[in-house]
Amino acid sequence: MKHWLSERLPIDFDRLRSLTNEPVPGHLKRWWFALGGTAAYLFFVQLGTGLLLLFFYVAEPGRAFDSVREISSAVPFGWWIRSLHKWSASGMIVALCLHTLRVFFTDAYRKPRELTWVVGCLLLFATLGAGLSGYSLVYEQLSYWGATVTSNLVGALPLFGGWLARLIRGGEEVGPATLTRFFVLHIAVLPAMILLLVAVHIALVRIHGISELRFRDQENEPRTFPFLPDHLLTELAIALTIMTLLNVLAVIFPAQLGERANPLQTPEHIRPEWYFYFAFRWLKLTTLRIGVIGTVLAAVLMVLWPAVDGGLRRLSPRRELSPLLGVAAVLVVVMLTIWEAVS
Amino acid sequence: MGLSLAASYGTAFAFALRFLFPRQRLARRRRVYVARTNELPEGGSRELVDLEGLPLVLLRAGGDLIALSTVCTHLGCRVRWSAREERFLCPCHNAAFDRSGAVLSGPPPRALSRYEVAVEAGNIYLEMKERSA
Repeated sequence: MKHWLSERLPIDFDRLRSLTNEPVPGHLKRWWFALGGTAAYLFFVQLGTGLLLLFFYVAEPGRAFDSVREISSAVPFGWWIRSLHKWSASGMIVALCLHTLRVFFTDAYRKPRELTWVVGCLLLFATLGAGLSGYSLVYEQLSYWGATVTSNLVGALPLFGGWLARLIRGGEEVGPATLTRFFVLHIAVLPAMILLLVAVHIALVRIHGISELRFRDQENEPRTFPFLPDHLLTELAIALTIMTLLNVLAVIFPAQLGERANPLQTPEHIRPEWYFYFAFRWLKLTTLRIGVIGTVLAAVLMVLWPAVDGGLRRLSPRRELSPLLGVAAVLVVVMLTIWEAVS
Repeated sequence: MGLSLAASYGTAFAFALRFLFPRQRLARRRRVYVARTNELPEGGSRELVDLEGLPLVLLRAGGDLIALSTVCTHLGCRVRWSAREERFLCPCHNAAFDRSGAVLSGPPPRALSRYEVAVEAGNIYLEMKERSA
C-alpha cells in the first residue's frame, strides 16, 4: 500500500517534515509575539462561519435584511454563527494591528524583511476591506450608509477614483447592483486575495526566518525550539483561548440588527464599525480632497515604511526616528478613534 | 507567437472589463409636474423623489420656489432640514447648508444640487433626469 501510494504521490516526507519543522526563535513562546498566527486562526474561523452563513444569506436588496434577520432569529444557532463571524472579524483586525505594531517597534521590517512588511500591510488593508464589505451586506441603515460613504469616498480618489467607484457600485450611483458587488468582494475576491497574501507572507517568513529577539529571562534557555510539536501546541493553546473568548463575546454581546436600510433617509446618528472611527473623524475635520489624499498617502507611507526608515537613518544615523514617528502615528489614530467614540 | 498571445489575452481582458462596467445609460431630461403653487405656502416644503430615485426637497423661501437635491455633495448621505437651526444638516460628517443649498460649514466641496423649477398656470414642474434602459 505504501509502495503503491509513493509511486503515485512521490513526496519525500522526510524533506517535507524538515521544511515544515523549522526551528522557532525562543521569543515566540510569548503569545503576544505569535499574533500573526492568531490573525490567521481568526481568518479561518471567519471562513468557516462565513461559509455557513452563505447557506441562508440572500444577496438581493429586497431580501438581504430579512435573510440576516432570519439567520439571527429563526435559524438554529444562526445568532451564534453570525456573532462568531462578527467577533472574529473584529478580533482579526485587532490581532493584525497589534502584530503590525509589534513588527514595527521591534524593527522586524528592516532588511531583508521589507517585502514581508509590504505583504503584511496589504493583508491588513484587505482585511479592513473585508470587514467593510461584510458589514454592508447586513443591509441595515448604518451598513447601507457605510457602503454609500465608502463608494463615494473611492469616487473622490484622484485619477482612477471614478472608474473604481463605478466598478464597486456597478453603476453611477449606489443601487441594487452595489450589494451584489460588495457580496462578490466579500465572499470571493477579498478572501482569495487574503489567502494568497498569507501564503506569500508565510513563504517570505520561511525564506528569511523569524527575526530573533532575546530577553533577559531567556538567557539560559536554548535559542530556538521546534515548530512541531512545541510551537504548534502554543498556537493550539492560543486558538482554544480565542475560541473561548469568541464564544463568551457571542453569548454576552450577540451581533445586533438595526433598522432596515432606507436609501432615502440617512439616520441622524451614523457611525462605521469601530476600526474605521479614526478615518470617519478625519473626514469630518478635512475637506474631501485632503481627507482622501491624506488617507491614501498615509497608507502608501505605511507600506513603504522600510524605504522611508532607510532614508531617516541616513539622515539621522545617531538617533532612531522611526519609533518616535510610530508612537506619534499611533497616538493620532487612537486619539481620532476615541474622539469619534465619545462624540 | 507573442503578439498573437498578447492580442488574444488582451481581447479577453477587455471583454472582462466591459462585462464589469455596465453600459452608461444616456440621461434625458423630462419636465415633471410635482405640485400646485397654492399647495406650497411661504416657508412650506415638500419632500419628493426624482426619476432616478434620489430624494429632493421643494421649498418656497422669500417668494421663490427652490428644488434642492438632499444628497450631500460630500459623500452622498441624505441631508435633512432642521427647523430649529434653519439649515440643512448632514448626519455623516457634520456638514451644514443654508436654505438655498449653499455650504455653511463642514467638508462638502460644493452647494447642494438644484433642480430647475418652472411654474405654468399654477402648476409647479421640475426638470429631472431620466436614464433610459
